[in-house]
Amino acid sequence: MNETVLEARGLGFAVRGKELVAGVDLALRAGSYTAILGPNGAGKSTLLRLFCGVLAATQGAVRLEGEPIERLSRVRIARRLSYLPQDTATRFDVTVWDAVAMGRHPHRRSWQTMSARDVAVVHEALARVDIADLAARTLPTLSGGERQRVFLARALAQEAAILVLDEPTHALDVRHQLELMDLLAGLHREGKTIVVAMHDLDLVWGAVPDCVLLAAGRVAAAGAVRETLPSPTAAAVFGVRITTGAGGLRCRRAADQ
Amino acid sequence: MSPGARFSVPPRRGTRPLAVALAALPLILALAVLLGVQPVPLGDSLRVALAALGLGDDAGVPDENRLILTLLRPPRVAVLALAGAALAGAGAALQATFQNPMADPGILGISSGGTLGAVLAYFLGWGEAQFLAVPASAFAGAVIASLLVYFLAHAGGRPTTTSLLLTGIAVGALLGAGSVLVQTWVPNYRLQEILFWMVGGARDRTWVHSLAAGPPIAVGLLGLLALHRPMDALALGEEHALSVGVAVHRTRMLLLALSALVAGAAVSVCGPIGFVGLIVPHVARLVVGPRSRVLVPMSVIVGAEFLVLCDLVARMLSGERVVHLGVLTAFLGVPFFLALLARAKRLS
Repeated sequence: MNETVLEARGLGFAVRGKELVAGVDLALRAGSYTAILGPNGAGKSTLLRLFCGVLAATQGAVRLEGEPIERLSRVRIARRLSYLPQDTATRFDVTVWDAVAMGRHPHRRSWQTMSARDVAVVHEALARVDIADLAARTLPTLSGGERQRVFLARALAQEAAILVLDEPTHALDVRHQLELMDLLAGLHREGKTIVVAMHDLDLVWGAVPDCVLLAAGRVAAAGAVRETLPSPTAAAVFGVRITTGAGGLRCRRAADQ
Repeated sequence: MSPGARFSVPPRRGTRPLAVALAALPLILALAVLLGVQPVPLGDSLRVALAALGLGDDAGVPDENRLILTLLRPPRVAVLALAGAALAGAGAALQATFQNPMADPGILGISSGGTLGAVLAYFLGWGEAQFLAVPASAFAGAVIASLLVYFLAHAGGRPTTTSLLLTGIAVGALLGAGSVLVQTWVPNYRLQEILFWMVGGARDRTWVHSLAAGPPIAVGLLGLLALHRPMDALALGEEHALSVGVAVHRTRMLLLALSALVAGAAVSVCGPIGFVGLIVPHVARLVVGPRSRVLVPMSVIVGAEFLVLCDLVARMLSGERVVHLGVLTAFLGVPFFLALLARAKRLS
């Protein structure tokens, strides 16, 4: 059994008395690959932000590799955990290369220039998400999907053992969605721990082994995707009928026959 | 991944324009000392310059010219170069910090705090009583204004970028109203001094002004430059910066404090000169790109050059009616900036 690398105990987050996440107990093992699923407003992004220490929990605690996350410096967190937020808009003409190279920040001292290894890591990250030819372009000239891949490359360039990704497929066309899922599967095989918030159940079905189902900020179910998604609980959480067969996962409106 | 693999960083804009700007700086400073309303023969200028370096004798130079070349123009040029560098450097840092291209030293309440400090000094008659009382009071006003923005923005928890910006604007408006109130109490004969201070400029500045403003500006600019990478990370967005290991809140407050120190020192010796902190970083960014490692030094150098050149033009244009520096920075800077912006839009 692999050790637990990311752990939530009684985790909660409330804004002005409204609970966005409540009573979450989770333990993610090293090398696990987990999808956080749930309808809009279920608290997926908030849970991921709590996992990364971007938001401070109002209840309970998060432990990263056994240490309370609020006691770790941002640099120490960034060396172990790489977080890809949903928002990729920027107003400045930052080049793709510079945005991806920012992933090396936690590994460099203030005045240190990029080492040969830093440069090689950035090239590898650009190549893995298929944007090597965009390196000299600036972010505002890219499409939303291209920018999404740039920031994914930034997350990879961080070389952290844990990847926390918030809806990484949301702006991608279908080909790049499938390629991204292949890339994540490859990273998982290499031993990375991956937590990914997703709303496309079909993409999750064939690719991700485990899932956590959120409803109104609480864990409704957790376990293997193959067992959790076809369950009545999942159907109730999403308000749809979920059937599985040779063709994969199929969702229909609850009223449809 | 093989660490030995040979990869190269793609070519970036920036280094050559920075070298050109740096090379132009001594030429522009020299030009600003040599030229003025009162013509001084080049031979006299050279003799005075060599004498200052201990390499000759300036005995044959008329006293009037020696005075212009030692005590009038160089201190004025020095203080303007410092102020231009400070305002533009702080502007570049603030635009990245707030992820907002409209940010400049005015938004932290620095200009209006400095103005209130200066107006109070004139009202209380300190301007005549104590040398440097007005700059000291202006600096205190600028620092107090930024502290006020900091504490008000933190009431009720950590502020977002937007709430920090809005607090700065609100405090600025409040202090601006305070300045107007105090001005209505000031005797008429002092009002013109206040007006001259408020349009900004460097008339009658001495080496002491540069010596007073120089250290805080130098320390602040070096501090901003040291934070070039966190600044770039912030420009990508708060969550991206956090993700790559930047302690966003602490870094942002440090950047604000350094910007307030630098811009407060500039305002205290030259008044609230507008547009430099907003426009120069934009011009620099259009030329060298947004990387702070190059953008901050480029803004600092171009800011110094721009203010010194504007002052030179203002001096040459001033006859019976004086053209004030703060007015000219807007008249020259804004059309130039708009032209560059239109060109950038065409090219993109």
